[in-house]
Amino acid sequence: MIELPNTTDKRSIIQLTGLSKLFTTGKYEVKALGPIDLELYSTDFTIIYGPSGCGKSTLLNIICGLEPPSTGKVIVRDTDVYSMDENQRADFRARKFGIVYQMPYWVKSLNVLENVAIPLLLQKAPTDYSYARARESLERVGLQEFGDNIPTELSGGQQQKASLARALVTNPWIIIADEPTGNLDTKSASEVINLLMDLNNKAKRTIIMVTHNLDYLPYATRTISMKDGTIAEAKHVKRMDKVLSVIKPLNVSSAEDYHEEGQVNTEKGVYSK
Amino acid sequence: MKFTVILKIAIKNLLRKKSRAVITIFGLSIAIALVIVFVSLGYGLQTLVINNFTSLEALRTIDITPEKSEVIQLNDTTAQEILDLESVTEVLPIVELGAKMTYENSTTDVAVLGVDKEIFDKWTTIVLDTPSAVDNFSGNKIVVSNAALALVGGTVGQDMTGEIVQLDISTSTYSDSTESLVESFDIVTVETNSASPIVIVPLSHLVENGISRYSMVKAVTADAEEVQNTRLILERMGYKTHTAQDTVNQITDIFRIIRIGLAIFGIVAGVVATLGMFNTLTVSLLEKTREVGILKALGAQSSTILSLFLVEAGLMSIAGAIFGIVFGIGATQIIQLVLSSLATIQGYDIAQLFAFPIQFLAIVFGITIIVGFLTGFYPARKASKINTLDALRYE
Repeated sequence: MIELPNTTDKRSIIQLTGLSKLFTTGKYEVKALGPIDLELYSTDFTIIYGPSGCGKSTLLNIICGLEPPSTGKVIVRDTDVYSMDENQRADFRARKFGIVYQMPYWVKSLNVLENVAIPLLLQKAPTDYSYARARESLERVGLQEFGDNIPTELSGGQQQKASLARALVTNPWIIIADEPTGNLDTKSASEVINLLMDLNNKAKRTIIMVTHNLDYLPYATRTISMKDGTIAEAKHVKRMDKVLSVIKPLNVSSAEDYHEEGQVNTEKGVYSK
Repeated sequence: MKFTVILKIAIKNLLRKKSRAVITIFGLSIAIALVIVFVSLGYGLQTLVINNFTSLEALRTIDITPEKSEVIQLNDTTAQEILDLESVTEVLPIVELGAKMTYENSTTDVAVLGVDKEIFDKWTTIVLDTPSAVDNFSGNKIVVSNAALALVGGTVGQDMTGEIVQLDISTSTYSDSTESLVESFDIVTVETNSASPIVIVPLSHLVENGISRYSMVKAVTADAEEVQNTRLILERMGYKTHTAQDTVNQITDIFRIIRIGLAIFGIVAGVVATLGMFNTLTVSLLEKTREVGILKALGAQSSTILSLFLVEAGLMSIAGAIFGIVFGIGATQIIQLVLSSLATIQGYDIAQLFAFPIQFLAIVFGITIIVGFLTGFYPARKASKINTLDALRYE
C-alpha cells in the first residue's frame, strides 16, 4: 500500500471535534471512545479497523446520529448532528446516510422490494416513485430478480447486497458499513466489497466502513486504525492498481441520479449545495 | 410515512402471524358477541314487556282517579268536564267493586270492573278469548277471567262461554244505595291475560242499578304529545293521574338495571379478550423489536412507530367489533329461530326476544375501537420510545 501525505484537496464532509463516549454500567463509567478529533472527506473510501472493543462501531453510531456522544461535536457538512432532536436526527440520517449492518435487518412482513423502498417511504416519497427507485437500486446490486422474495429467502450474501441496495435507495451522501462482510463467506464478502468499491470509484459515494479484516485495506483510499477508543493512525493511501483491476464493472447510476440540494453529483464526485 | 403505507405494513404484519391475529380477533369478537346477545336480549324483553303493557292507544290515555277526596268525585258531571277539555276526545268511566261470585256450588271473592265495551280496545292488558263476543256488551253479560274461573272450579278456556254465574256485587262505595246487587250473569267470553280473579260487567247495567260515581275515568287525548299537558291540567283540577308512560318509564328503569347486569357478563369476557389483545401486541412488540430498530435507524420518526402499532391494534379491534356484531346478531337469530320453533310446536305465540337499537350497536362498535386503541397504546408508546441501538442488539 502506498501512503500519501496526510493532506488532501478533497472537501471535508464530517468533522469530529473533542468526541468522547462514556458508558455507565451500574456505579462504574467505562470510557468507550475518545478523545477524538477527526476529519473525514468526501468521496473517500475510509476503512476503520482495529481490535474488538476499540470503539469502531460506537464511532460509526455516533457519526450517523444514533449514539449521542458524552462530549464533542459531530458536524456533517454544516450540520451539527446532535443539535437536532431525535426525530430530526432520524430524518437527517434518512436523507444523508445509507447504512449497512453486519446483520441485515428486515421488516419481515415485507418483501425485498418493499424493504429496499422503506427509507424513501419513511420520507413520505410517492409510493410508485419509491418502488421505482428500489427496483433501480436492486438492479444496481444485481438483485433485480428477487424483489418479490421475502428477504430471509435470500442467501446471506444476497441479503447483504439487498441491504446495500436499501442503503443506496435515497442516493445518500455517505454510506456507513459496519462490518458488512462479517457474516459472509469469502465469495459473498468479495462481491459486497466489490460493490462498495465500485460505488466509491465510479459513483463517487463517500464510504466509511468498519472491519476486522485487514485484507480489505487495499480497497481503501483512507485507513484509520483505532486502539482503546482513540485514533491510533489515520492516513490517506493510494488504492492499489491490482485491486482496481479486479473490480467487476457494475451497473452504477451516474447523471441519472436524482439531485436534491446537497446531494452528491455523481459525475464530478463533488457536492453541490 | 404515509398512512396508506403504515396501513399496508400493519395488515401485512397481521397476515404474517395469521393464526395469532385470528385467535385474538376471534376472542375479541366472542366477547363482543356476548355483550350483543345479552344486551339485545335486555332490549328485546323490555320492548316485549312495554308492548304488552301499552299500545299506541294506551300512550294517548290518562287514567284519572279522584284521590282520596270526598270533595272531588268522578261522576257523569265531572266526566263531562274532563271531556270538555280541548285535548280530550273521549272519556271512559270505570268502576271497581268487590263481589262474591258463585258458580254451581263454589263461591269466591272477585273484583268487578264496570266498563263500557269501548274500553276493550284501549285497555291492552285485558285480553279476551273472543273479542267479538263483547260487540254487544250490555245487560247481564259478563267477561270472567280465567283466574276467577279457576277459583270456582270452572273449566279454563272457551268452554265456559254461555255458563251462568251469580254475582253479589257490593255497590255501596259508588252508589247511594246500601244494598248490594245480586243477579245471575251470562259469561260471553273469558279474559286470558289477568292473573287476578276479575269479572267485567257492563257499566250501563251497573248504572241502571244505582251506581252514580266512578272509581276511575280513562281520558283519551287526540295525540300522545298532548298527554303531558292534559295531565297537568287534570292534576290542577284535583285529580290523581297515571299514564302508560309512567309504566313504560318504570319498565325502562328496571330493564336498564337488567341490561347492565347482563352487560357485565359480556364486559368480563371483554376484559379477558382485551388482555389477550394486549398480550398479543406486547409479544408482537418483542418479536418486532429489531424491526423497530431498523426502521428507526433508517429514519423512522417516533410517531411512525407509534402509528404502526396503533394501526395494528386498531385493525384488530375493528375486525373484532365487526365480527363480534355479526356473530352476536347471528347468535340471537339462531336462538330466536330455535325458540320460535319450540313456541310454534308448543302452541304459543312467537315473540321477538331480541332488539338491536342502532345506537347500541354504534356504542359497542365505538367502545371496542377505543378500547382497542387504548390497549395498543402502551406497547405502541413503548415501541416508539425504544432506543434504536438497543433494539438492533435485541436478541
